Amino acid sequence: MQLWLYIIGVSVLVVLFIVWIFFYTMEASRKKRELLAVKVEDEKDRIKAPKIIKKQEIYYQLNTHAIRLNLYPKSHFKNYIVEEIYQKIVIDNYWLEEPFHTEFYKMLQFIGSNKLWIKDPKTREIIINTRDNNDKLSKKTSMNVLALNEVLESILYGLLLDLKRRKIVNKKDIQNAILSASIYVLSKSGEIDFICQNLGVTYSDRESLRYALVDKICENILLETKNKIVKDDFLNFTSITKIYNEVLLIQINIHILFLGISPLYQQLNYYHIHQKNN
Amino acid sequence: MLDQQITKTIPSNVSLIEIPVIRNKKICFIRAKEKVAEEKRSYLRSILIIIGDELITTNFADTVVLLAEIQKFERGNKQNFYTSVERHDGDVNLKLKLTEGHIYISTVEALAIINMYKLSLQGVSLTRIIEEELMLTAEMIAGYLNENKMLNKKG
Repeated sequence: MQLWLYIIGVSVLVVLFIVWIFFYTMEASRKKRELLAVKVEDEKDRIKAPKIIKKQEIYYQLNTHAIRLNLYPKSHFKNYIVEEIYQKIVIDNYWLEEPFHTEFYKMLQFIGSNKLWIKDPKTREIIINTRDNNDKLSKKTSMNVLALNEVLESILYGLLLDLKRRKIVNKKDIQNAILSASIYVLSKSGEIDFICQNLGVTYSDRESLRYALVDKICENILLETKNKIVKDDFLNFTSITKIYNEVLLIQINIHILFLGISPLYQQLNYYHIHQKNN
Repeated sequence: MLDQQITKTIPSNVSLIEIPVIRNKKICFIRAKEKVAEEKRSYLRSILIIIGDELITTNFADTVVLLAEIQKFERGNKQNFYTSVERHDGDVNLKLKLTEGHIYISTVEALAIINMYKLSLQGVSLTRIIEEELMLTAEMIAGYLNENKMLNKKG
């Protein structure tokens, strides 16, 4: 019995060994074939296209220190409304591109330091002939005016909303629109002679005034963009005029008395009788 | 400068009322009337003349001078401060100079102005108008114009 068992065990082992050898040889041959095929393909590729050199990836260190920005001091503004405009338009939107930033700041500085006004379209100019204590005759005019700061503020915010609605995202287009709006508002001021004296601007017509103002105020801006800012058929210009006319109707007027008669209103010699009386 | 410091507001018992005289040429009086409740009387304190967009007189004395010039009409002098006589095609007109342009007043209109002035003196006491005239400064008048919405365009 033991011999039989021994013979059977040995034979089984032999059969298993033979089977294993068979499969091993099959597997080895298959691998060989695959490798050959890959090599052939590689060689074909090598002939066709040059070898692509992989760039080494560069790892930068994170800048964790505070970034320094060159901003103008807000405390130099003499008017809080202008200060708000600077905060909301330049700082909040992060528009620190160099020609735009300084030119806009200079303009805001000029507007803030002078009490400029726009004539209310609904007002009537009434001239008053008065006598002073020495019985000297003098002429004064009283009318309703709008503060230019407030008009400019509401126009700029309205313009930004309008541009968002029309999906104009290009930063330069928006900046040009802002500059053209503020120059349009300046050209509508009631004291243009005073502005031109202060800035050293000369103009012949009312229409050429905006060109002269742009030449003076936006000195460092390129000529192409300057032309864009003043153009009447500029994409945003129609919306600017529309917003301007809307704002003038809503704005609260101030009742003011001037010394002298138009167009020789004496600069800054007016008295606020009723502050924002409406 | 000094006249600002004297009075800046119109006293509460004085009311300024606009009286249209000739509507075609926008000639109006502005009458300052003081009401005293204790005495049950009202006093005239001042009369002004407004033509179009210009207040021509802001004193009672000036108003009287202008009205006298209108009353005398063509018999007026060359020294006339406000008016001058103009003859055209046999018509005699009174030319009233304004800061912007001028208006012409005919004889009938002059009569109407004088009649209206006489009517405006009725029912009020004139005792305070000469010595205690309300001296209206430009600030007070401007404030009055604003309160009555006369600075807004009509129509």
